[in-house]
Amino acid sequence: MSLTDWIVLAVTLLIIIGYGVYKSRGTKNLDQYLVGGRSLPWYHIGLSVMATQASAITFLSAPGLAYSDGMRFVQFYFGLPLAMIVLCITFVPIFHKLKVYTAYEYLEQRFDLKTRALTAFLFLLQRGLSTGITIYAPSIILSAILQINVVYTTLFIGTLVIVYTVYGGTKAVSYTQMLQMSIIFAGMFLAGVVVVNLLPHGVGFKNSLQLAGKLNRINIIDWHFDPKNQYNVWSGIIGGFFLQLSYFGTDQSQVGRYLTGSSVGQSRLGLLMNAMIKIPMQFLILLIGVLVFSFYQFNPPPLFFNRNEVKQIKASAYAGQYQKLEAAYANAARQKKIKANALVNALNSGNNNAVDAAQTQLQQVQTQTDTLRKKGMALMKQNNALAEVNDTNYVFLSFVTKYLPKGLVGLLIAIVFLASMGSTASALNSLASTTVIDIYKRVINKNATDQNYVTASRLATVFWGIICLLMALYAGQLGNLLEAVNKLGSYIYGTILGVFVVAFYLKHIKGHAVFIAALITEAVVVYCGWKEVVAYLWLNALGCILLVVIASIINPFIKQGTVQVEQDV
Amino acid sequence: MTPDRQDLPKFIKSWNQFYGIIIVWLVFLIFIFWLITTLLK
Repeated sequence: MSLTDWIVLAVTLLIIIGYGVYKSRGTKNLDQYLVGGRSLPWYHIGLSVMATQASAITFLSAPGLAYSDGMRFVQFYFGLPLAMIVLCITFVPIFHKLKVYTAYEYLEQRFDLKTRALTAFLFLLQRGLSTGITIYAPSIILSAILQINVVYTTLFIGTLVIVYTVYGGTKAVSYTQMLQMSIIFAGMFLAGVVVVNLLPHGVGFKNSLQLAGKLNRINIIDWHFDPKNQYNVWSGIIGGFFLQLSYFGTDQSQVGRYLTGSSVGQSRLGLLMNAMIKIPMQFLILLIGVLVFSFYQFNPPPLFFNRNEVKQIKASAYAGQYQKLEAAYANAARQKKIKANALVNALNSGNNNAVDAAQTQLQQVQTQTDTLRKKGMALMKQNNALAEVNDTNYVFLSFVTKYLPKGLVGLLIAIVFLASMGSTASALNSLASTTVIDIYKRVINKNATDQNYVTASRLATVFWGIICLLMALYAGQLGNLLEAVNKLGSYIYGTILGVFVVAFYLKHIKGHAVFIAALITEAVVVYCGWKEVVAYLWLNALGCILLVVIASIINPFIKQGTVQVEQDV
Repeated sequence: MTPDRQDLPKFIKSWNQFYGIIIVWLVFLIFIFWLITTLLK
């Protein structure tokens, strides 16, 4: 990176964090610290909700996925608008009416303490473990791209987030996220424009899309239903609906965002803004990946995009074999450029026969390059069984640092840092609020002063920040456990959603039945996930439906020992 | 007008109408994506 890029990176980060800290000054009581005094307008909520969901990996993975697999990933989000509607109708008015700080607080009012404690515990377990990965995943990519030790990138991201989240609480998180998302939108748009301009003379936006389409990268819609494939319309709408409803309705890192709304209407508008923007936003991010793919039809891509892995194999006994593959790949890339130009000319001439012939020839070269890439990856595995042979996350940043103009590189690297910090800040804030509200205030110290709870919240943020930072620093040594941590959310969300569905819609079911049903459901879901019975996207639907069915069946047989305090909602 | 309704944009009469618009928007997006997929195959 050039000096200009470093300056752009530093100034962007400083301005955003400075703004968040400035706007959150004077945060004194618990209401201000945990829910921003319930005073924020809809656009704050909308952008904050989006920033919480969009981790750095969203901006790194999605273009890389489009590059290697096409745009079908966008279907994953088709259930989101429907989930937002259900949230607006049910969850938002209830949480606002009861003025809760956490989603789990409501469950004690509806059921009992043990159900509240169980869901809060499941959330702390899942979010506490996964937040370390939220920091680690972009850190390792940035370290490879910037050629900096991963410990420094991890410490840099982690420490900055802890400092401003501890200082300003929810308000600092929300204000920084608002600016973050604005800069992310602007940066990604600029990147898209620059990619189109980098295409060879005579190849425009339309041609690049046609080219990608002919190579099966514009595979946005797949109507074929397959429970083992999560990227089709039906998995996206049904499986995605349950996943998004679980995430936005029961994960405190999201609930905490829309609890900051100044009214039910403002929270609803924020969520509906997300419902309208999320899919087009994902589409545009994937489109950038497709444009990068088209760009690489005319320019030679590296055989493998992760420079650290390439460095390792070149220092090993397999270096000679790898370099031969690189030479063959470069030769194939030259062929590809010729065939791609032929296809563009055929497309412009409108001659269908010529288009078909050119398409077949280009596809043949594409198959050749794919095979060479697979051989390269196999070589890496032979050299080191633990080698990371999926370079999807490296495609976009590798392209950015090599081809984008000075200044824009710094801005796009800043976007990765910002996205990572945005989702981490929400996670730390939600971990702290659940720890203080559902454990400290409820069980340990019921009658303390407001100031005591604010101090406890700050300490809890520091505590979780350190835990997550340690997780991030040691994530590289977790091996297969890392994958398990990534899947943990799918194992847990469905069960928690089921508990909330029973709470909202099945008033006759009591606490004991729900608690037992939750334990049974959790065991079944973990088993199904472990044995890969269905794609993980379906685990949320399975967990939710199973819990509702089990709770309904066992409820008449279970005697409720405690007095219930039911809310008429 | 209830306080809840006051938050709505002026051109939308009720929350249910807004939810309907979101569903229409989703259907529209899926249709456009299907069209792009088909045309660029």
